[in-house]
Amino acid sequence: MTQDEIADVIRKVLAGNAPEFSRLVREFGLPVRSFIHARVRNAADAEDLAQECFIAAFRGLAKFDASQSFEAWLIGIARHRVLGHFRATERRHNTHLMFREECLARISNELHQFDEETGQDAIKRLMDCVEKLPARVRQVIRARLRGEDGSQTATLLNTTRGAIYMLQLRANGHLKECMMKGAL
Amino acid sequence: MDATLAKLLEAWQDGGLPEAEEAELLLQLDRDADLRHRFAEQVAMIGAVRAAAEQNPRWLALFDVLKGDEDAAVAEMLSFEAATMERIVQTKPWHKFPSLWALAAAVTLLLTGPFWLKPRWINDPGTSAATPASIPISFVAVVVGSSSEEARPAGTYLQPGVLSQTVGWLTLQTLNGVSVTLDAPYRAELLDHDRIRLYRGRARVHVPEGAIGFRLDSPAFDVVDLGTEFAANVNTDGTGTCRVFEGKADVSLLDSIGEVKSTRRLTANESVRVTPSKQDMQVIKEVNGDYPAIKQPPRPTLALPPTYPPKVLGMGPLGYWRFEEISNHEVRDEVTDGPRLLAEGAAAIENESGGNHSGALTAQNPVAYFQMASYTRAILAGDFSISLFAQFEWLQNFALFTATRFDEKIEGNSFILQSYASFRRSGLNGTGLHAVLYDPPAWDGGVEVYGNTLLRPLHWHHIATTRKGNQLSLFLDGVAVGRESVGSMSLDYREIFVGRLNGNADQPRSEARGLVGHIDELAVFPRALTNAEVRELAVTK
Repeated sequence: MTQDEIADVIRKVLAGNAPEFSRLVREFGLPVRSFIHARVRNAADAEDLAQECFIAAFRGLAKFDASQSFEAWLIGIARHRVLGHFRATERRHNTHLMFREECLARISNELHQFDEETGQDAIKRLMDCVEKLPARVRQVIRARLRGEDGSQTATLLNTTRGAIYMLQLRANGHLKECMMKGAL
Repeated sequence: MDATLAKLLEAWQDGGLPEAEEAELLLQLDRDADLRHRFAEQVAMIGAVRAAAEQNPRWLALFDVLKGDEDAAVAEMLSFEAATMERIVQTKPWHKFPSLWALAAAVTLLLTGPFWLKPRWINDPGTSAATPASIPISFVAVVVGSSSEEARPAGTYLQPGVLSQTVGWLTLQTLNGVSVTLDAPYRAELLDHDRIRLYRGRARVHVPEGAIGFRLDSPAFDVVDLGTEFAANVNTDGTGTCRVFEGKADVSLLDSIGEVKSTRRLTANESVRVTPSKQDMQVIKEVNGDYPAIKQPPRPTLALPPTYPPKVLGMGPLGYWRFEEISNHEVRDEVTDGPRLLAEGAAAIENESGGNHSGALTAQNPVAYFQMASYTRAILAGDFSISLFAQFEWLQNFALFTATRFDEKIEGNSFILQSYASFRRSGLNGTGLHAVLYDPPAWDGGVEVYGNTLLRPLHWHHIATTRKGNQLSLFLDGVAVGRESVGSMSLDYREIFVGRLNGNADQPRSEARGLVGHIDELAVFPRALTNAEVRELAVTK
């Protein structure tokens, strides 16, 4: 979607055509959700936050400066929402969440850079990239998506817990390269 | 480098590393720019895969690529775009709300006058509580009580939507156990099981363990609960006050698009006043303030006919506990030489009006449960039935009857019968009953049985399950609500718990699914009762 197309959609929405906003949700849904899923552990919470982010954008659409990047504006809202979520989840009582936040604070610049490089099209290529991964690696991804932890995944694949993380490491590396270049 | 990165990935996803090891990893992240870059790449990729996997039809498509067969319920989930737009079309820009609403209210009052002196329900679907056969997937709360039982009877399930009353009050419970009393005149919008928006009026909120993070929005401020109880008053001009009665909460001043401007943490007996026109939030001193209390009807007593005990005994139970008294930590078994049921922690017997007694596992006592002592006895071998009455103080996931096993490799449960609230992740929104043979069900071919039905807080429900051959059935109030083929696997277990998953006192109540409520007339049978027999056991006076 070009800057002009985005501006056109925004004009229509502000003129009262709310359903037009769905074009923006479709266009920017994946990058926003990807940003949030990278930071929020619970998938249902991440999905809720993504929705809230678009709702906040809808409410504040009149304030959007059309000369700026709409995606960057959305990501800014998402960042606020994620911080609010951390505030709400009483992370101080959960050492794992505290550790995750400490990590996020250290890699925030690198993640930001990655977010800028990873557009909608790159994430759309993801499925093609996943398909090209070896079957065993796909099994690991699948198990993790189903919520199984390292030990459970290791038992399923009859391997060690350490091997699972190494497999994930390489899979993510391949996927990133594939998403950026369009091929494995 | 790869080993460190793998360790980081492990700690990031699953946790569980010793503190010293986590601290060392953080130090290495501080020191090593390349490690930071590669770790960020891993975190971003995990996010991208999860985002792609969570969106239908992409979700299904990705799993197709991954060659897996997935739960058909997932197919019923709304796509992200559709779900988001559904909420957006109901959304108005914040800054337009107070003036428009005030104008509309003024005009309506002038035109309709006395008509508004009785409670009105903006989103009234025009029906009483839904029946199990017609459960939509979007229930997020249930009415506990109101000033007008006729207008909105207790037990009515609520979907997201606007609630409004000019006189009286309403107490609802969200499907994760949060109690909210709204005092008229009020206008509020129920957004989800963990979120309500108060446009105008007075609200009191009690948040139990396991539901922390509940949020109350208003045009000018939001309150995020961090445990127990708070109240908020919102005036028509958008000004308002908030007070924490127990525990703590974060109150945030919002700007016109709902973004947080500043946040203040309140602890017990602290209050703030918010003035949106000045973008100001001030701590104020007040004794109790003009806040409503949580209002709800008295807890009902279980009234059974005198013929009930002989009827149960006539069905040949292995054990039958009426929770009349506890002697030497033991609940009396009506069956001679039956299994012993011990009261553990703060489990007690409570006198009810009308002479009944019941097993009390109350909110004040985090560790309270009953445990069957004679674990060597085959209680759930082959066919069996479990029958009991339960009353929930609020609706959450509560373990009612659990047979626990401890293998060399796996700690798990051989069988769980529990109440369930908010099925969001299973695509089965609402409440109901849930039984699991071999938990977690991913192991050893474990099977789950859902009884998708509507439970009521502060109400005596009869709950039963029967296993006959390879069929496991669930019953609520005498009606079959769920049935699955569970195969012929035998149950191996060491201990049986009633009202909690296990006896681990260190585990928080919400994790151990400790029942907050009452239990009565528990009976275990060494055979599958017939549907007619279950119906008989569910009959009260």
